[in-house]
Amino acid sequence: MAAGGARGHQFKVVLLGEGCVGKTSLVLRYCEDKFNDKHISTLQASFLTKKLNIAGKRVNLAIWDTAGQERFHALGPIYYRDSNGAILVYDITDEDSFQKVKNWVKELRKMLGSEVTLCIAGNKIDLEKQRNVPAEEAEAYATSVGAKHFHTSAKLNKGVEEMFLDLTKRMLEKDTNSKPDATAKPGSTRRNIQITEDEPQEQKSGCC
Amino acid sequence: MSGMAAPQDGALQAAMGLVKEAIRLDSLEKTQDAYIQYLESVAYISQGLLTEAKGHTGPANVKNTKRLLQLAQQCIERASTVTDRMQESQSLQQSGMGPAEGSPGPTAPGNHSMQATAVMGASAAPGYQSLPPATSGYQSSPPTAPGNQSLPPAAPGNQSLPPVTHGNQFIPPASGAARTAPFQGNLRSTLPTSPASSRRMPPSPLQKAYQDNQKLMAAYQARMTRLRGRRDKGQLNLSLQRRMIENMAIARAKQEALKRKMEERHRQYQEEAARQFTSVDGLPLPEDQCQELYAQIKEFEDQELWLKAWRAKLAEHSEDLKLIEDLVKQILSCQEHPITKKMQQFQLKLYDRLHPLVEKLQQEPEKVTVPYIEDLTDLEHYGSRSTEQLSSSQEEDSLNAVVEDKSDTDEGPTQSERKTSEEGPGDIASTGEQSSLYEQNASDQALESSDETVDKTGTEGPGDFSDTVRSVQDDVKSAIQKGEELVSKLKAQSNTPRRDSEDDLAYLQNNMDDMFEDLTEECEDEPGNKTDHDQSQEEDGETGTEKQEGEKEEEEVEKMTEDAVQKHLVQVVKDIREFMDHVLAMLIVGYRELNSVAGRDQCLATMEEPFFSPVWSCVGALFRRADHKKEVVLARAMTRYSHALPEELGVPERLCAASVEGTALYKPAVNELRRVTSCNSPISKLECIVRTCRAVCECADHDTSEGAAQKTAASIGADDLLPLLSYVILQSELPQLMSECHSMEVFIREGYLLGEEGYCLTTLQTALDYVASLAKS
Repeated sequence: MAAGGARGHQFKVVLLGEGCVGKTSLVLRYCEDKFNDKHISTLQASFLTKKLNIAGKRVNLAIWDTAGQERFHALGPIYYRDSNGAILVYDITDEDSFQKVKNWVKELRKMLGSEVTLCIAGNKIDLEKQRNVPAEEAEAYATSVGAKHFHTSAKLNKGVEEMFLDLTKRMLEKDTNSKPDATAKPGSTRRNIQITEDEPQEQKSGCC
Repeated sequence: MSGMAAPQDGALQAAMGLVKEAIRLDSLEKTQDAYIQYLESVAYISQGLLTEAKGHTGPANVKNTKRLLQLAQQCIERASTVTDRMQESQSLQQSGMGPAEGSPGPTAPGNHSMQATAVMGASAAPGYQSLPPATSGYQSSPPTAPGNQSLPPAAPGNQSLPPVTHGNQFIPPASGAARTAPFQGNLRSTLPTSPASSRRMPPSPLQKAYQDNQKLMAAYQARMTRLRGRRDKGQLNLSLQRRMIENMAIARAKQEALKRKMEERHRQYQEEAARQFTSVDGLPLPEDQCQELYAQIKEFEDQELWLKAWRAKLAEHSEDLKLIEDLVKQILSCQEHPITKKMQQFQLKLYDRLHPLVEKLQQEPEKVTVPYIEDLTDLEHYGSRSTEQLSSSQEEDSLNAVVEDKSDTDEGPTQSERKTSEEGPGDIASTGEQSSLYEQNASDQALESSDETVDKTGTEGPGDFSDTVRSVQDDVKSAIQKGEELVSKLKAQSNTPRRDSEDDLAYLQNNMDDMFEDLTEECEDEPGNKTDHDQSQEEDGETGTEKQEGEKEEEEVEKMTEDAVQKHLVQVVKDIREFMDHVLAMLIVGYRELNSVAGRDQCLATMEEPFFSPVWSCVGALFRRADHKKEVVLARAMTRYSHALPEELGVPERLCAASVEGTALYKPAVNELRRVTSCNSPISKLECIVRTCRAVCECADHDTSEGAAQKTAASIGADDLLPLLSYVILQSELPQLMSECHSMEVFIREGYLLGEEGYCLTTLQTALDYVASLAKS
């Protein structure tokens, strides 16, 4: 039952993006594709896990969907704490959603530093004709913040697989480079981590 | 002649009656009484004969007189044997000579057998006298032999060894009995109140010898009755004695050998433990404790063969998590197991600390429930079923603002209003107490102005609202009177809060007690406490002298209590973790196979239920007290939006297909969520949350397929899940979800939080936060 403890790599990936940009369909497409119905858990599209085998390394992805609505953002940080990776999704027909992505990138970098591996996904490329976010601008922005940009379409199943694969590989790299990390030993570091977790939250809820 | 014979016949019969009674007492082993009775019989006979002799010139009836004299003689003989026996039994009690069963006391009912029994007593004297007089001697005389009553009976044999040392070391009789006293309620029923074993154990060699001797004695008695009056009786008696003494000697030797063997084994286990590990890395157990514990566990296993089977299984499949779970469950449900006993000690410690504290704290603010009635407008919200709730709330908010302004200035009167709002389904019974706190420092002025306040709110409110107010105005007046009484009462008690916080400090200081001596240096809270303490003492000096500072002071007291509660919480959480780590360490000491990351996690997860469930009522109460303010906010929101529809919380239309007013949507999910309060451990609570989230998804699925048959829309992403869950939270009307969530967050191990469980908890927290934020809008 417990997610920790098993041998192999455990990665947590958060999915961020405004409502209606299609992050849910994106992740559903990815997990549906190979394992059909089996991998849609009873939690449906909100929380998904995916097992991968990359170059002999067993990887377990836990993909956390987040709510796009503004009113649920107050507790955003508790969603993406301890994340190894993040996928930021925008709708290429919606300039506003791209602005939101920029905000999230800032916040993630602020909260998680350079540890987190970022991917930016310009979704709905099946609606290329209505594009409102220039591809060059988006790509340039992505490289400027150390993220990778992908053009995806959940509807046409384009770019989805590649994006997740690339993200996983990059997370693996980071994980093996920085060995003494929090992901290595859940048992021994438990106390320290939990105590630091408790404090910002109490402050947070205290002020509201 | 015949006329004279009559009184003497009567005297003989009366004397016989007395003697009979004496013999009966003798046979009942009431030696002292029998002795007196014998002497009385003698006195009666001699007195009778004396009067007769004085009155007449000679014995009137020679035959009868002779019989009487004989009777008296026999009585004197019996009395002398009885005194012998009394002496004997006294010396026996002192020396503690091996006991034996019932005396072959005379049972002869009458005069005829009297002679015979007396003779038997005399002839059997050497043997007879050395025997203990009665069964009572066996029971009451303290045996010198080790392990008659005070030790658990032990097996005489090869396959399982008796726990001679076990009995002494593990059962803490004094502390155990004393500690169970404060146990109340559910804890008492879930924890064993007495460590005494109900288990049957084979008898020890000594006990066996006793039983053998008893059998011998019975056989001897049987033979005695058959051989009455014969010569070889004395010999028989001697041989019986010899055999019994031999039996005891053998038994004693056996017991000694056994004890030595046990000690040997204990040493062996300790040495084995010392070889196996120096200490368990990173766990709070010093080396010598490890060794001692290991020896204890092994010894316990010697009696409980099923545990050996588990050990063998574990050695074979040390990776099998299910096996680990089962093993830990088995161990912790076995009340006699050394580890379980230690865990119970921890639980008792926790309970002893928490129970008085929680009792005290719970009296302060009343339990937050929905509907949470603060003023009558809340009732309006709760009572109405308007679908335009959200839009109309702004209008009403402005109205609230007026009332709230009032309540800011005169806290007392608004409280009285609350108290009298009898038509509200609120928890009126407890408001008396609550208001006593609030009104503690309310000035008389405030009380006088309350009529005015009520009038104002009455005129400014909507029509039906003002009606309500008018109807309760009289009640308000009487409530004010009550309030005044309370104020005067409370003036006398005004120092209690401070005493509380001092108690709290004492708790904190005693907290780092003997259990973890090595941790005392870590007590970082100490300096902070000291200053608090000083402050409170300073304030003590000021109280009562300056009335106007009362309010300010109350605020400070409240703040201090709040601080103390928070500190308690931190401390208790720390203690619980410490205790759980200790139990884990003990498990690992007992079973080295468990010392892997997965094994540890599994152990911790499994021990949660047995560890938390007896103490959860207290721990939970502390959390509720600590999160009181947040719960109030949540309760406010729940009251205000109790009839909001899913659409109003941002649930997309497609998921509200069956939304008809009055039908409870997502009822299964709400019911599941409500169950969280009856779970007694963090993990079981978390599992309940996961089931709730799943139920939400299933309900949503069901709704869509019934409504528009939009199969493609069935997948619920976070965009849908959060509003739905917010709706379910509102419907649950459980403000304590705040503290439930908090406790899960604190106690759930990190391993759990990466997976689905963590996701569900995070989602619930976010939704709760959103719902609570509704109260502010």
